[in-house]
Amino acid sequence: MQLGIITAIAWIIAILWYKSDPSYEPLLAVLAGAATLFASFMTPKRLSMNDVRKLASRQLQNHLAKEKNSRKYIPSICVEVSSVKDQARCFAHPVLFLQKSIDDLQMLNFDSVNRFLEQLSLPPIQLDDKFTQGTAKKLTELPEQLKVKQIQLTRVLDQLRPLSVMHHQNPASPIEITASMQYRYRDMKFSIGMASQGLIFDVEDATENLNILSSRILLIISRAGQGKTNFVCDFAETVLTRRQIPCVFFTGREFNHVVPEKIGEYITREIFGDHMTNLDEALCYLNQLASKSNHPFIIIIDGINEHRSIETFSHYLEAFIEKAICHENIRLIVTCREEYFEERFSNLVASSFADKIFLVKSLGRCMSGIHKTELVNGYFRFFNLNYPLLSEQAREKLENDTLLLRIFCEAYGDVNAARLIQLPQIIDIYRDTVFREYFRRKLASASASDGDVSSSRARNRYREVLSLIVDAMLSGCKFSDIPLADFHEEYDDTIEALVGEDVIIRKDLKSIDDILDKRVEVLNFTFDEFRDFLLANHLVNVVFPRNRLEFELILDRLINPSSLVAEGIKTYLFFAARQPNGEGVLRIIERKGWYGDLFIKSIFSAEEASITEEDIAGIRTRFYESPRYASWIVRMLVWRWRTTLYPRLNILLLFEILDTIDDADYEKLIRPGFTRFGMWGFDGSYSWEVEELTDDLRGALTPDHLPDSEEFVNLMRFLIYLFPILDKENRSYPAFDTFMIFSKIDPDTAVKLLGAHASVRNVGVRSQIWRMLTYMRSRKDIPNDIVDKACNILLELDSRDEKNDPLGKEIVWFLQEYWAQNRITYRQAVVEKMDIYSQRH
Amino acid sequence: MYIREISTSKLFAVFDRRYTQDEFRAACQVVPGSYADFFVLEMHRCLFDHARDIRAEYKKYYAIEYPTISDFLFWKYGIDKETAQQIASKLTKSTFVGYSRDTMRIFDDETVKSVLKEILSALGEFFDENSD
Repeated sequence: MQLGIITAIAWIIAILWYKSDPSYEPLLAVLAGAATLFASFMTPKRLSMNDVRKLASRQLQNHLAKEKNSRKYIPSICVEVSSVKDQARCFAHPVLFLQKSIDDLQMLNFDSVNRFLEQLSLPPIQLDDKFTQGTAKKLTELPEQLKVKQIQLTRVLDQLRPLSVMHHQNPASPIEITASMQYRYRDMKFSIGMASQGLIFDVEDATENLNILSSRILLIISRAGQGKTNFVCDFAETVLTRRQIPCVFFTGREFNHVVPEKIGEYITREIFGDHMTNLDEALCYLNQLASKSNHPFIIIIDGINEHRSIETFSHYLEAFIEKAICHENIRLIVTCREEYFEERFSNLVASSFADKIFLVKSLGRCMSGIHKTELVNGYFRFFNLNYPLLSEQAREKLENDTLLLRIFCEAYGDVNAARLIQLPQIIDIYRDTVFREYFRRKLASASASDGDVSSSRARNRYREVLSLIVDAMLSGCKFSDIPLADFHEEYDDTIEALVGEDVIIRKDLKSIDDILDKRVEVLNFTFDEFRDFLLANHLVNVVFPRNRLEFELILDRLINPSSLVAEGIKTYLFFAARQPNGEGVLRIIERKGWYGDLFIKSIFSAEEASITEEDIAGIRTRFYESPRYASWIVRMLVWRWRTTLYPRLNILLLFEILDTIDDADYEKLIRPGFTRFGMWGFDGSYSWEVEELTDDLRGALTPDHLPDSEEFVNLMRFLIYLFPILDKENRSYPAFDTFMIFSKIDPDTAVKLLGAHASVRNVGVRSQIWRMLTYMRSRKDIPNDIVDKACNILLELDSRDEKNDPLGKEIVWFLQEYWAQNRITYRQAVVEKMDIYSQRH
Repeated sequence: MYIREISTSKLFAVFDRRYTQDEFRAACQVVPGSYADFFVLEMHRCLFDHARDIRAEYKKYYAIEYPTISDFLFWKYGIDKETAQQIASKLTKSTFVGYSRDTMRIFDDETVKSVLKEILSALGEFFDENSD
């Protein structure tokens, strides 16, 4: 504008000059001035920061609207992942959240640790006063400040870590203590370790926060269906927009229509429209806006794996990010599916900006229990699903696998339903059944969108195409990137329709080593697990009837340790083989070496109605094969304590096994499953510590809350078998203590249960049962038949065998206490046996 | 008073107001300098001196995102919706909502908990039975 005014003044002077001297030079000056003035008006107007803010905001809002319309972002089911959201806040608003980190650190309580250190004549640990002073007010001051604060926190951590009780954090020489203080240190080692451990966690968290504050790229990777898109959209809408942090939003898919070399130009045009075409200039503007607003400018790129030509895209994406972060106030949030990240985007973590990336892995694992419940409720609401009962097991499966939750809701729900869809009781989630229904629905919707609703022809065509894809995978032993050119062109329309549904298969572009054609179109299944389900069903329903030998050859080739599909195929093969036409397949796979693991892992996920006597016999036999099997069977059967819900396979089978288990098998098969680090479950978890069970049960054990259900007694009965198992600190017997609480609330049932189990085979359990009865005798009249049973067992005991001593002593103690209370006369033989055990120590 | 352990050794607590060390001492009548005195001060330090003031935190950092403090308690601290709403409805100007780390896990001890109950009862606090 100012340039235009100066030019106009110069032009007027030239005119005045020409008027006073109408010669050649003044005329040239007038013409030159006119040209310059014209040019100054034709030059595009320079954008103000306000314009840039509006343009960016418009781009963001347009994209959020698109994501909502396509139902990739559903605000009503969006559940925050609190810890990750806080990390993202730190990343996007570093000036404010640096202050918050400092506020949190000021609350740290070093008093306990310092008291111990004082007793050891060691200097106290504290945060430097300077740490809390001079907090950055401007974005530009951040890097220097963060560097200083990181050094200070590292110093504190170095002082704290040697005090830790956690082994891996202890250096070889834990802490330098003078010889005269060693005795004190020995006494307080555990206490000081306890006091310092919490502080170490807090300071580590703060250090991580500082790393986020200084990082430039927030990279979120997690498996499909974990809510990455929902997370970033929600973050942009509820955090960035409300805090007026400038931001733009892109998706990997939208770059499909862009020549990869030109993604920078595309981004520029998307934000600035016709106002600008040059990426460098655009980035300068965005950087300037960030500096002016004192917030970083955030560029979100969601789902980079959704680009068809991932290899080329990843290269140019890296180049773009490199260019963008040259501008100090620009930051990026990038999300990617975990399955693709290692293979196709590993260039990012090996790039020049690798040290500026903060990586967040797996959103799902970071979600708290209460928010997972909210997630399930939100999904059911959105898909208009209602149920009379959702069992704990079923809820747990849905809460811990958001992809399964989505597939379940898509299979049974309807977002457009006019009224609630009433489901029957949901006792368990059977993946195989859910996938079947999901497949049926998706085929129906694909054929509906194909305009061929009335006939089943369309569905058959889709089945045929999917069958061809699966066949191609099996014959080539290649489970991704199936070239589209391998299919006859008569299937093109059907493939396009299936791809358009975006839920079963997708089309990608793949680079190949060919001098003429560098890229080819390939097909992939959208979800790997769903692919494995189809592969297994194809094996059973198509390959096996065609040729048994071929089936077995393919199977052996697929199920090898290096196969990526082995686990998935085995699992779904198990379920497919249990279908009415799967008998022959079942007989073949039963002979395989891996069937034992598969059976034990999967049988508890089979529908209750499909459980046979043969299955139950199989469980009973395999229980004795390994501690891992036993541990898993115990855990699964305890979960089936509600026998009305699980009429065939339930906790009663476990009782049958436990009633007959001898001492050696108890030590080998039962105890390890309930001790810390004893057994790995098939779900990847550690063994089930006995306290985990008893802590859960104790909540229900109050006179007001005791479940009014005969089935609940099953859990109390189960506790009896765990009486001899110590807690992790070897200080108490949690099952015994928990049963004691129950016995105070319902002594009649407790005595009945104890009496019924007084003859179990395991001596350790039996001993503890008699101890419990001894404790109970003051509160409850013990029936005569239990006293008779005590006498009979005592008489049968071989007193020469020392192994029987604990049981003998417990029974004698019970009989003595009973006598003290009731003054009854025991038979002479019983009295003699009592004398024998009374004299033993 | 409402106290709950929301993750390992992390306490969430609500009191009618922020109490001073002297009020705590006077309420339980401990001998200054005694072990009991030390313990009472330890409790106080944990619950007040080294606790994050959640209301201040909400106002300073999160009010722009969450329309109500009950939303904030639910999403940020994982307090169930019903309890969060109850807390929000009973907030007065002086209510103190704190979050701290029980470094020495003193509140695992039933005796400590009953002493705290006694102190707060002497100070006129009502104890919420839904507390841990």
